[in-house]
Amino acid sequence: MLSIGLLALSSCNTDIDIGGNFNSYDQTALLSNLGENIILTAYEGLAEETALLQSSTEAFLTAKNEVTLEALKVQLKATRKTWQYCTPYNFGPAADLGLVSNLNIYPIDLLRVESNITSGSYDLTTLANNDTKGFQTLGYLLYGKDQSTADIIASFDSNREKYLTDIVALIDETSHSVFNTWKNSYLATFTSAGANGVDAGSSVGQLVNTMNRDFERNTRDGKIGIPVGIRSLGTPFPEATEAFFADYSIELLEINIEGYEHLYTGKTGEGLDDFLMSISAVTSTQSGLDEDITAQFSKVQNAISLVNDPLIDAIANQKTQVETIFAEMQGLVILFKTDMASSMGVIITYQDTDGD
Amino acid sequence: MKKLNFALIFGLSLAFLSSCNEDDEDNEVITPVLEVPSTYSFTRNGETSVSFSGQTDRLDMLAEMKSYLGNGNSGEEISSQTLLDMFANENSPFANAELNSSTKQLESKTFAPDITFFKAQITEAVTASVDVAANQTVADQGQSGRLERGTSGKFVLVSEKGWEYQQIIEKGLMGAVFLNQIYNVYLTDSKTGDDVDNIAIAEGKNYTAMEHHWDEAFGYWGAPESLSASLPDENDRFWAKYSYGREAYLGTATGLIDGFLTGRTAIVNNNSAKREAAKLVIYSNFELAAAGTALHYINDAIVHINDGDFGNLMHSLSEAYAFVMALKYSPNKSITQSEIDSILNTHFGTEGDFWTVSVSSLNDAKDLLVNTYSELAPNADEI
Repeated sequence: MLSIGLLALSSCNTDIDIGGNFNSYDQTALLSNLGENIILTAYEGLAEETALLQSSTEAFLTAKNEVTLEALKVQLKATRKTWQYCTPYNFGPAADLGLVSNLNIYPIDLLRVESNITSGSYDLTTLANNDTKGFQTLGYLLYGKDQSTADIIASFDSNREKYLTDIVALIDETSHSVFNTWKNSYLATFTSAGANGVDAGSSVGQLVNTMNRDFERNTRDGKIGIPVGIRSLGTPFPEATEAFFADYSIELLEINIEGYEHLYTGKTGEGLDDFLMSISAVTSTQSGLDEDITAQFSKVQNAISLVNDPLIDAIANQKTQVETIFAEMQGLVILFKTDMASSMGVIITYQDTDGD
Repeated sequence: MKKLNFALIFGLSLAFLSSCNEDDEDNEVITPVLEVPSTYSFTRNGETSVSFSGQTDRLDMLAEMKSYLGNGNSGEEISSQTLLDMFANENSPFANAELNSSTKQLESKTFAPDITFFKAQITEAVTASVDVAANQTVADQGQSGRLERGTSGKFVLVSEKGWEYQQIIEKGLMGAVFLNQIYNVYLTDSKTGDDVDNIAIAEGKNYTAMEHHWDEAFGYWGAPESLSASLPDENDRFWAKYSYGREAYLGTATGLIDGFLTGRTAIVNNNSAKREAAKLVIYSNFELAAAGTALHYINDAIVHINDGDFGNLMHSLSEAYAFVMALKYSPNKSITQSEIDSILNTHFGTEGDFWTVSVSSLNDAKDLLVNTYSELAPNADEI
């Protein structure tokens, strides 16, 4: 590590590398580890679970009873957990195939879900149905709100059965398409020599932009900020919790943070941390950036560990602790978005809200 | 041709006369050739020969229209009389009194077959604004109303198809007036061709007819005469803003700077071949800026679908729709009218009903643009 640091320093003396020493870092190992062992593995795990979700759905519809319903709920939860490892990677095939839009848009439009079921006529891929499908809609269909299991099972007439089947099929199809595209072509693009570097079209440039946007918008705001009322003058918005019907939003958040850790550390291989260490990245106050990010991950995890599901109850009974999670995640946003991106030479190109 | 011959004879005789007066047989008189300047600065006898105040007036008028339409996005009732007056510059509708007294207007310069379309948009926008002001109606498929952009607390007023009126009207008129006037009026032979007077100085002015017509085309671009070569700045307006916005990947600002400067220089130098070549550079760079900006907003729309953010999605799609519409005005376009129609009426939803778009239909639009404009391909996802 020391020798790489020295190399990086010496490259600073050349004319090529005016802005910083990020150009000295060889991205080959990073991109291949992230591409193969982190991202592709995450999508593979998701596709495996969505296939099981498909078969559990078939089993439930073949014999509708408490046992098959419970098995389907368990499988839905397992699928949602594996999804949490995929959220930072909404670029390339995931964006082109609308993965998030088919899996995890919430809150959902209950009126439209019910009117689709009643009419039996809908095209789930169109924009009008963007908030009538995915995991939260499955949660609604399988858990309901304050409904007995017997009532839930009884509610499945042929139209409801068809809707359940169609939503699950779309989740499974899209997940497999994204996994296969990554495996068969996009992994090669992502790790290719041409995608090295840190400009907007590069793999690192794209990854750092997309992960920041997802973390800020979906992890910090979507999972905690909006439900706790950060965007609504402090008035909580329970329907905006991720697992509003199934009541395991905190558990999903914990796994999502773990997913971000996988990306950051690269698990046993090269990760974003190695990039930062090799260029001896520091924060604006000259402390080691990797140490700060690692410490901030712990703070986020500690804050989450003090809160229990259901998140709706936690917001009602221990709002301060929930707000602490938000604050600690905001700390991570600053480290990722300002310090990490600038140390790497990545320009953050997305904006929170379009200016014009 | 007649005028050119006359000009040549007139020019030659002047040269002859002057060389007689010089009484210096060693030096042949060479017509001075102006070098291409770095800013849009051209002079005659030490005074500027550049003038395009009428274009600036129209840019200012559209800016006021856009601003007024913004009241509709904010949930206020807007008036069709005010908007139609702004369109035609009647009954002193503008806050800027100089515009009210200007003889210029937008409507008469709008691509004629589209005037009805824009007036209908104005009428619809007003109706929707009245409803939202009274009932805070939320838009949905088949229902005009308002949608929040993300969690920003800012709203867009959209039609029953999801069209954001402000964008469709403002960006739409950028094509139907500004590009249409550049393409189909000022860069045509009737305004800047060989038959146009480039000798006589207009009465009370400091320019020839041809110089002035070229400057009027430049004026519709919206760039300041200083032509800051790199980044967009606050002085870049309308098409200048978007051509600078696409500069990093497409070089559209430097392309237009080059086209306008070399063309105007060629006019001063009476070099019609260079002037005609410059026109082609201008046509292709405006077209690429429109196509690239449409792609930029298609990419945004795909992101917003994955965000489940209807407000920003409708905003991005409305921008994309208007920039694709703008492609139709060029007589030299690379894309066909039927391809434009298929983007607008199929890829952007059935008959442009945004509620019926899907990620795959937007990708179809994207592929069509990238296949038509190969310059978009290397950075198709980042533009």
